[in-house]
Amino acid sequence: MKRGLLVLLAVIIAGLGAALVTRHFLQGPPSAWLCHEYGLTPEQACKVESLQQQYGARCGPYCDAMCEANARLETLALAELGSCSVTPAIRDAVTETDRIRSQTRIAMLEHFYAVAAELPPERRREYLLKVLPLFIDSCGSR
Amino acid sequence: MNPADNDLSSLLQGWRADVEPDTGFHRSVWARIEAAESRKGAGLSTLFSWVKLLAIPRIAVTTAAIALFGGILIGGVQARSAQEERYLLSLKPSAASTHLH
Repeated sequence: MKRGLLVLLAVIIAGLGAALVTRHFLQGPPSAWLCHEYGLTPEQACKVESLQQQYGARCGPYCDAMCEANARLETLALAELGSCSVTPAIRDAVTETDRIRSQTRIAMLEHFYAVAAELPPERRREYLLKVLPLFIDSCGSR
Repeated sequence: MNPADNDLSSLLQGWRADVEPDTGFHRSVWARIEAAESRKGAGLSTLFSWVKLLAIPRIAVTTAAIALFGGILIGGVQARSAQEERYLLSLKPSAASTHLH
């Protein structure tokens, strides 16, 4: 009985260990899932990886600009606490944040289309349906 | 109240239930309780006998192999799901620029 329990314990540990090790070794760059899921060739995988790098490079400045614009808007809004009115400066700051957000969203959509173009034609729609909610939700309405 | 109602009331007051409880009632209740307990005991003894079986090397090895295979399968499915989540997360502009650096 005692031996059986020990074996049972060992079996459970072995199963859990196998799951953890498998999960660890199957980790890869974010685009690895895309390559596997859509059966990309090594050339296509390289292209997708390159697109991802370009996308990151494009988004970096937008994120910085958005942080600056938000900080500026916050400063202006706090400065107008006394008058409680929307000044032209605040209007400009709001417009600026919207402009950057729009540029970012366009960059996202361009990236999605560029990646979709590398996928098998019959699976492009499936990919876009998966990623478009990120683009649509980026307005924060949902 | 009319006389007919009075007759009915007196008739009902004089009536006594004359039903003897079934002599096998208690016995049948205890039999059911014992049956339920023995079923519970049977479940436990089945589990213990299964654990005892694991002491047999052949069965232990087979069970371990099944556990390993199941673990690899579950780990693989989890890894795939985590990869998808990471990819989708990497598409968010803030995360995309972070991944780059």
